[in-house]
Amino acid sequence: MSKILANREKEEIYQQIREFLAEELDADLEKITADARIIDDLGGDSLIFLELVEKFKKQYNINLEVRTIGQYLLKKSISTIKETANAIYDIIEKGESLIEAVVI
Amino acid sequence: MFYKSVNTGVCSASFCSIKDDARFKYFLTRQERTVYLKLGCRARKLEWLSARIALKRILLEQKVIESFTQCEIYKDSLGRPYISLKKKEKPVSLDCSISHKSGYSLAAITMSPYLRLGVDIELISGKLSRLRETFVNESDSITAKVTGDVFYSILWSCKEAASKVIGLGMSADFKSMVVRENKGFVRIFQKERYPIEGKYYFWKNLVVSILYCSAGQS
Repeated sequence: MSKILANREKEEIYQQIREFLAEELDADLEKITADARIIDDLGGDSLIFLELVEKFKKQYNINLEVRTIGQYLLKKSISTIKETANAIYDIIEKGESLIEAVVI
Repeated sequence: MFYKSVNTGVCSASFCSIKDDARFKYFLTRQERTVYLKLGCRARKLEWLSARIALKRILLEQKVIESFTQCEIYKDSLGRPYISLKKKEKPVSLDCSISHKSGYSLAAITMSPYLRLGVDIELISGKLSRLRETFVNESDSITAKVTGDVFYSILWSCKEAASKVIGLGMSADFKSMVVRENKGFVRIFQKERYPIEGKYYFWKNLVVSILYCSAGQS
């Protein structure tokens, strides 16, 4: 089932991503800007993406395989906080129909 | 600098850890330096550099290159590293894989045109126990007498290395991979694919996996 996120919800998600990364990567919140690269600038790894996705999957009750999300993230070539946030919005909004975005 | 080479019998592997990057120009080509200087996190810079030192030192030991700047290491669109030799007198067939975690880097190279490699280092922590539903298959089994965080870290490390062998990274189907261990030797089974084989090791508080598969079968 598709869902449309309001701008206020997107802003909340964006802040949650920043706070999650600040805690997990032991980084200052000010350094977690829209253009910061999660791996190259903040020292994250592929696991951090998995953790982030799992957090929002649970929060929004999304039933999607990790493989589908992995394929989607790879296709979108996600690197920065802004790109990650946009991907999370897309995952929440598309839900199970995300698989179509991967296949097409 | 800490450096330790490991002969797995199938490929050459090495660990590397550095505390400072004062000599980075000695190890990197001009193009690599450009990439290196754009990395914004000190820990990431040290791991990135140490992974390249580890790979290039294997090539030096194997006499494929004579200096650190005779080759460059890039990553393809799926994040798989490949080596570009600057001076190619004769064609060399190489496959390589790198991983880093907690200040340590692991690199492995095979000169065999018939093998594909994948390596992974993973910190033993509660993180993987919490994420187990995303990657554990109910048929996974290992013979080491370990439980909890260690068990899940071994499974993750083996599957992550296997995903690199296949060349899919995070888009591989971790949950459908089945890990089986026999006398310290690991095999990873997947539907409609040949098994991926190799070993895992413990290094300090890390699990290290070095896996391989015949090229064309991965």
